[in-house]
Amino acid sequence: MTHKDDDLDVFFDASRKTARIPSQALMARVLADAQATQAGHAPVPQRKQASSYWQDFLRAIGGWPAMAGLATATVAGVWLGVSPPGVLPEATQTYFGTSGVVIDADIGLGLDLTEGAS
Amino acid sequence: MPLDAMSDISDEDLLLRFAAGNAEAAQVLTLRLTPRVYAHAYRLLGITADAEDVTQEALLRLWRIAPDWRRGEARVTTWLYRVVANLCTDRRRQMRGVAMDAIPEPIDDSLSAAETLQQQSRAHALQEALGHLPDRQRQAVVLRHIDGLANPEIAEIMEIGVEAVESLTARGKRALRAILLDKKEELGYLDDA
Repeated sequence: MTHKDDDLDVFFDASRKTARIPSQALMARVLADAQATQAGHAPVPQRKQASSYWQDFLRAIGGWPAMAGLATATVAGVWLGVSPPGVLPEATQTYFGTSGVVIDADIGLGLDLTEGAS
Repeated sequence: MPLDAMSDISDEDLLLRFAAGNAEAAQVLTLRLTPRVYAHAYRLLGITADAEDVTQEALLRLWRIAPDWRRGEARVTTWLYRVVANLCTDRRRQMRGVAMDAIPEPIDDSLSAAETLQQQSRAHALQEALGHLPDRQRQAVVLRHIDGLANPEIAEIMEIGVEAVESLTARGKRALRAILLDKKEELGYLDDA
């Protein structure tokens, strides 16, 4: 470094020592820009997945409480089918006037309802 | 993570965290880069309001480019210095003939009143002299002798060769010396020689 460089160094040194510092307002503006930009960059929050058929069904029947009632009714129906109580055939006969009903489904010829068949 | 704990993290890593949505990274980068960018912009422009506008715009561009930042391709400060230089060049084209600001405000409390005054006078004289240099010379001198960057980094910022940087700084200093020589007594220049 030459003597001439030293001559200028006092000026450069003075410039460093009196360096301008940013105002609080400028810092706040820069940070606000950063935050606003970052909000735009941020990974898009996972979009709620499109509801499935199952979720649509659950919502249609009234949610989980209704689902519990439906399950209970299904179990009860199966139970009645497997092991009907003694009073049930009598109730069926009283209602239909017969001990059973057979639906004869003959495609193309319509339905024939036959009483008393078994 | 506390802000202090991020002081050892590189600018680049912070920028990548910023891009990933880390709020602390936004604060640390703002605190770390704004003073540096602003001081540099002021040295190139000499006008507070313009230096503030350039600082805000340069950093806004950094925030926007963050998601596309490629690790290892450039230093964040190198990129910023380049953006600041371009913005300042545009500003200076628009503000020909506008007077620079008054003497810079003191920031070093350890200096006596007389020393402070002397430092301010020298800094002001230098700032005024810098204003007479062509843009590229001024940029090279400020980056090399005030911001303290090495020539290869300045070459990268200015997108020229190292030899061209040396040439610009040499010519810039020669011009500064010619301007400041007349003021050496009033600035207490001889006290330190």
